[in-house]
Amino acid sequence: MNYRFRLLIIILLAVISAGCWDSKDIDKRSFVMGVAFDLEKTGQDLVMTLELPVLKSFETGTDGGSSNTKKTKAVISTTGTSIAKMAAGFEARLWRELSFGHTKVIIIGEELAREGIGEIIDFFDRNPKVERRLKLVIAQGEARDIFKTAAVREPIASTYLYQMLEVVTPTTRVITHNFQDSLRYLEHNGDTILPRVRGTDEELIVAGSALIKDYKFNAWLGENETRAVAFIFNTVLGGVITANVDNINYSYAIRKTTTKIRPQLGDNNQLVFTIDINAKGDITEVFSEVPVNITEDLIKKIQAKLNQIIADDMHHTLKKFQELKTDPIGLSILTKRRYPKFWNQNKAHWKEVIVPEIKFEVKTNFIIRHAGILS
Amino acid sequence: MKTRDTLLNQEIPVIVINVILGVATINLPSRLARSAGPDGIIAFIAASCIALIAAFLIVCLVMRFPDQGFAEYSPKLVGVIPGFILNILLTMYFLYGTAVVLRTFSDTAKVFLLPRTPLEVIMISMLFTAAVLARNGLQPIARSCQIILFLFFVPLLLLPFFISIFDFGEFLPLFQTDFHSMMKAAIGSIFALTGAEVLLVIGSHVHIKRGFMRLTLLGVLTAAALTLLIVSLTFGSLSVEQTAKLQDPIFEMIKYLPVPVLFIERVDLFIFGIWIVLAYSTILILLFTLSHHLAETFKVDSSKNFVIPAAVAIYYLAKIPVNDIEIERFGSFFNIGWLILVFGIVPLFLLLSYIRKQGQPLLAKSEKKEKKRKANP
Repeated sequence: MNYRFRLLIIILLAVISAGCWDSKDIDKRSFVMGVAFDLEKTGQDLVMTLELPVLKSFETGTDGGSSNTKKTKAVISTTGTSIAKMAAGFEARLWRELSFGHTKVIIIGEELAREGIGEIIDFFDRNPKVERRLKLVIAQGEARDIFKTAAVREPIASTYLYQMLEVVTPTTRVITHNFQDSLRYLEHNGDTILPRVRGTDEELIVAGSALIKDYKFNAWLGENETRAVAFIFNTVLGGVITANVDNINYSYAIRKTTTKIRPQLGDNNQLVFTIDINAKGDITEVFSEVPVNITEDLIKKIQAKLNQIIADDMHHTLKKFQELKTDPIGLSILTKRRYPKFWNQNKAHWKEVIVPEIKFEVKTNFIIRHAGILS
Repeated sequence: MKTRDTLLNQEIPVIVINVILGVATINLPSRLARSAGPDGIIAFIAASCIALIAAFLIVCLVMRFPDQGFAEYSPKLVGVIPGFILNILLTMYFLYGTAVVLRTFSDTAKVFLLPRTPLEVIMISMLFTAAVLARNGLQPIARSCQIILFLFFVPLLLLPFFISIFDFGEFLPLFQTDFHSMMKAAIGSIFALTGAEVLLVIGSHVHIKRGFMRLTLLGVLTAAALTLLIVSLTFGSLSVEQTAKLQDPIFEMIKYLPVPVLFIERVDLFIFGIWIVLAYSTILILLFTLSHHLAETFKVDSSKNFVIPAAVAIYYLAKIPVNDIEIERFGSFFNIGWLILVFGIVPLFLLLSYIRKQGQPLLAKSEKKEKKRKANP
């Protein structure tokens, strides 16, 4: 009896603990790699577009190679006013459950971003399956057009875009923040900077960024402005800066950078931010007809030029933010930490009154370590 | 005392750590960030001090009556009927506490792991699994807890080395919260540090009482330090504002951080696994304590027969809250119960034991005597 009772318990446990209610085979799921949102022509509804890989196309053929004659992805769209409702509509059309666990990018079209991105974010922020490492980007033009890009080596546009944003060491032209980083700034004061993407038939171009103010697209930032922001966010992992000294272009490859930002409150409540940028890198190219001897003086000249380029970019970008009365780089977060009393007194009119009055001191210190293998 | 119901000295901190760490640890950073912002760290340190004082009082009482459980000495201190009422109230306390833990666990598991599985099935599976071991006595529980401890201790200690995004600035500005709000946050977070009160029931089963106080405090301190580590990591990586917004920020933190070992893309699943095991050990210890206290109250030799009825009662009690808000309110009532028990009944019993000259002097003194005797035979 005792033995039978124990056996019964084991069988019961095996049955009820197996989580059968939630078991779902892989072929009954639709893995959403990317989601794009646009504004419908009437301006009332949203257009939600999904990029889904066709798993069958990745199966190995009888000869050992993949059967690449099949379509590798499906791009489907629907219109509606609620994302949850549109997602349910997709499930009905596909007869498969949408799985957002592998979603790499959320792309928002320019026109929709002008109306606001807050409503789009909530669905993904609330969903426990969503990976917070995915990228939130703004498309120049229609977001769904990004999925039309069919690069030869990267058939899934979402993966292609994600990899470009994730592995961006060769460039400083993009913001590498992920979904959680973007939320951190957005939910603090409604402002942030998101990467800009546009697509052609065969490639995606990620350069520059979109300035978001109060959850709405406000202005584009050029590549140099974006580079300045990347330095402020301390996300520069590499990239090349060209410095022109005595009419010769020197390519400086960034190896390591650190940025420290400190607020300082003066006697008359004047807020001054000191931005201290330190960079180490190498000269990888001297664009000159005749060989150039890299002397100590020349190194100092190149370093000074690099310092000036980045400092100018910084001042220009920060001035732009002040003119637009926006704080996408978290100046308010730093002020709140260092001067909580001042922050509490001024948080209500931070962007309107305080931000335009802030003074910036930019200190740049670019160091050249090597100049290649030439002596 | 049966052999299988004895607790070895080294198992005391193991039991204490296992009962403290569990479901409440997961949403603690959120509660602290919401109620005290960056000062949540200070509030938690204050809560840890309260938990240490509580553990000290509990052990003092246990050592006054080293061979008796709460149910046995309470009638001697306050009289038979009030003692019986207090025993029933303590039963209700453990019943309620286990129900809170079970429901919080089941709800979180449903949201993150098993959205289609009925809540009832998650609760019954957990209770059933815990009941199987709880029926077998204290020693198997303690041994299981030792295995469980190794299972989460190493990953927890390794976790900081994999957190590549961490900003110390997130802990600023400190001391911006007024004393009242700070204490409110500390009391609100105490649920994550409760558990040492199980010793009121199972403390009498400790085989040798030498070092009981030190080991219990070590257990509470270790659990508090591990929880503080988790809270700090969450604040520093996700930011205080984002932590406050999320219900279970630790899971989201894992999903946000860059994957250290590329072949394990869903590293969050490992964390879920550890968390389930931790929740299991908490429910298991509480269920055993509850059934054992019932057996002692009704003077029954074995607590085995009380395990299933207790589990059934826990199940029905855990079903009462309708939504997240009610579950949180459910948990806050438990905090009040804990405060009354630890800072009301326990000191009162200690005081009464001295007034009525019941129990033994604290073991430290008898130990000294024993040492003296050994030194001068």
